[in-house]
Amino acid sequence: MDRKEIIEKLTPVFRNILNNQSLLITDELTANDVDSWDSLSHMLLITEIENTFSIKFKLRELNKMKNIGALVEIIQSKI
Amino acid sequence: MKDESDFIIRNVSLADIDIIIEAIIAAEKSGSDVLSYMAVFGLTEEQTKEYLKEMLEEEIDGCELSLSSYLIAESNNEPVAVMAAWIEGEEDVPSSTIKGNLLSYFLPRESMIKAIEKSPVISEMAIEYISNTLCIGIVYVKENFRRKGLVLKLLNEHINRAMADKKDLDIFIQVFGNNIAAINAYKKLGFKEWKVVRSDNKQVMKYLPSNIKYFLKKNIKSNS
Repeated sequence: MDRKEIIEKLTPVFRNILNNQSLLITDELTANDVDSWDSLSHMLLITEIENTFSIKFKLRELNKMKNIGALVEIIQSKI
Repeated sequence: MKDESDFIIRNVSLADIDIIIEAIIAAEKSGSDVLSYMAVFGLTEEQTKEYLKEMLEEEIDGCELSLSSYLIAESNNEPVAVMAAWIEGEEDVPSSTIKGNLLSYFLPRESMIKAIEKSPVISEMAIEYISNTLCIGIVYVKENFRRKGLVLKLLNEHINRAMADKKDLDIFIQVFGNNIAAINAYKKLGFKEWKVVRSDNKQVMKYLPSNIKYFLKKNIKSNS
């Protein structure tokens, strides 16, 4: 799966959990850029992403995710 | 009667986990009976303590669930007060993300399912910390040791450490609106209201101690 396909699958997940249907998912996007992206919604995002891609993140992988670009790279490495 | 000088302030270790857990639970309840971990995730208080222990033992830095964020006040080798504080986003990751990572990794799937419908209600009350500021996350003093200046002593030690490489420091603390005593105490220490979040959603009170949250700020400048 290439980066574009991963972003396409991630977009509805982020839009639904963060309750923002116009949210644009870019490599640079971080939790600081979205008001509703708090610890609880981040937890739900990770869980939903794991379900969507049928993967399970390691804690050290989660802690490397500084932005969407890093998230996409980790997903790519696991599918 | 003990005065301030009878207490020592020190870093925490894994041996201090019990009082850190006690502090997190007391801070989450904020003087109410509502423990968000129970109300949002459907956990018992005992399960909450077990998961908090597992998360703290990972020793991930940068949020309220990080052992390295805590300082302890000790009297006669007994921990009697704790305060968590960290520089927000020091490693370019917000504390909310670090905490969310720990929650997602350790809490069971059933808890996630229970949290999904409550998330929009809780998020209404969320205030994100600001990068490169000192964030006070958890403050707890055992009942018999209150009104002895321990909060100020712990706060000053956190500030001194944070100011070691800074000339100007903003300090933020979030307090639920029901905790009037704490709000007044922080105002006496020089904190001012910076932002107030209020929710009219009646569901909020089921999951959090109050539908009002104060974001208090204090600025410190170095004399050197």
